[in-house]
Amino acid sequence: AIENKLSEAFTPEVLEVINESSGHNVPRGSETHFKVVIVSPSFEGTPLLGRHRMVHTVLEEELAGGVHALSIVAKTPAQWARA
Amino acid sequence: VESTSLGSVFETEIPKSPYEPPTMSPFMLCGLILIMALYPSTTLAFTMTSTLAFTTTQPRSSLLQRRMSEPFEQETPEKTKTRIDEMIKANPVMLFMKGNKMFPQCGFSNTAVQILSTYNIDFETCDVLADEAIRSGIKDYSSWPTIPQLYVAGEFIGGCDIMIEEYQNGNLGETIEKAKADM
Repeated sequence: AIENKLSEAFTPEVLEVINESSGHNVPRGSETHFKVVIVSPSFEGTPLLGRHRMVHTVLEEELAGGVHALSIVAKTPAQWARA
Repeated sequence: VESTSLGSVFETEIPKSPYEPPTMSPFMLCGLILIMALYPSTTLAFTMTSTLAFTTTQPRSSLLQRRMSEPFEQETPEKTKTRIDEMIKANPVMLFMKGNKMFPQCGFSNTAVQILSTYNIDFETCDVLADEAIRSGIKDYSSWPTIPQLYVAGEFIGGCDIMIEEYQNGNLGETIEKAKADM
């Protein structure tokens, strides 16, 4: 669901959503800690904070629900190619 | 930040009435008399201070004092917002985190503390786990759903990921240097 929402919102070149809940002090099978790696031209010209906030807006429901930790790597295609 | 709950301080540490002696068995009584005989000055000191504690209404901490004198009320969101405002203004580098500087209670919060420690500055932390009002308040205040959250010179920087990236590209260092200069 997270993947779909992000795909729609940003038409990313690269999108990875990883459930990191196992690395934290929560029960097995939880969906509370996620890492999102997303590369999209929509991030062009936006500062880091802005990009993160964009992702937050798209995932508002999840954040209000079970997800309470979100690790975001948001790059433009140019930055991604460099790194 | 007050970390013990009010309830436990009341129920377990202060006897119901200051004028009722604690109950004890004859065995304990003999033991006590023995100690009193062997260590009279200690006993005297102990008796004097405990009498003082139980006969005056000296609260144990200023927090307790405030709570005892004010009627108990839920903190309003505005009050929380004001508190957050003040913290951010009073401290050039302010980190809202889980746990505190010495004992972070979350991997991301820990990373944030580690990063800030590499710069040679004083920074203040607020433990949101100990303060439920701030825990939700700061999320509304910053329009940011996760903890940790860093403020430098009153400006929201971001969470742990942003801190890492800005640390690596040198921006965080710059921002902190500027704040240091203004301190």
